[in-house]
Amino acid sequence: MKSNASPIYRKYRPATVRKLFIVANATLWGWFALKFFLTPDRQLLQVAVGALALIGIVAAVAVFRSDLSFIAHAPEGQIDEFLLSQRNRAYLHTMRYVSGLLALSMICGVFGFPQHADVTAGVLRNFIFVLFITTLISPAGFLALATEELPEE
Amino acid sequence: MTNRLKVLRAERNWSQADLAARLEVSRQTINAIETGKHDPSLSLAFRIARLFGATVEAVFRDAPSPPTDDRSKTR
Repeated sequence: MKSNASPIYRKYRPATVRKLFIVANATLWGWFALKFFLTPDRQLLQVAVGALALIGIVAAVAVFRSDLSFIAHAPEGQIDEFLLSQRNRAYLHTMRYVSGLLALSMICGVFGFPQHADVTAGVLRNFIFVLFITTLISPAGFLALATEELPEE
Repeated sequence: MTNRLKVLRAERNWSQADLAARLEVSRQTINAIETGKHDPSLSLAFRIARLFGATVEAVFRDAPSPPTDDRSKTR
């Protein structure tokens, strides 16, 4: 593994990446949901919702720059067989997670939930944005969830 | 599958990181093999055996299979 050679990736503990992944997901999807349900007249709350998006993006960037993200995106020749098998599993979990989110949104669309909601182009744009960020960081996030801390020697 | 990787490594005073560097794999891989969470590929098993100057059978052993309900013995 040659992640240390690259200045892009930073060495974080798996537990840190796990927390950042959860924070990024919770805040970004929370931002999407609040923005969807909030009425434009509640200005102060709009600012708070904007701050939520900012926290989510910062956490997502940190996950994307972690060395686990290197494993998730490295060419096959640069990681060994065990990391490759871990990565395969992480991508399978990502596929299930993202298709689950898409299925949920489709079900909501089919059954017209939430009622009287106005799904504008802006709402769709926000949904695609959050889904894109989620898909991008999920392999590293699921790798972090599966990676144990190595014992000290 | 069981293995003697930890014993062989300890005999040479190598850390997991040392062994990983010699085999050009990650420390996670060595830890996973030692703890039985990962069975190495044939090529890696041969590389490990070669590094320790032993045969693959001397390093790795097929785990004993759980006892089966052999009815022919009871009849």
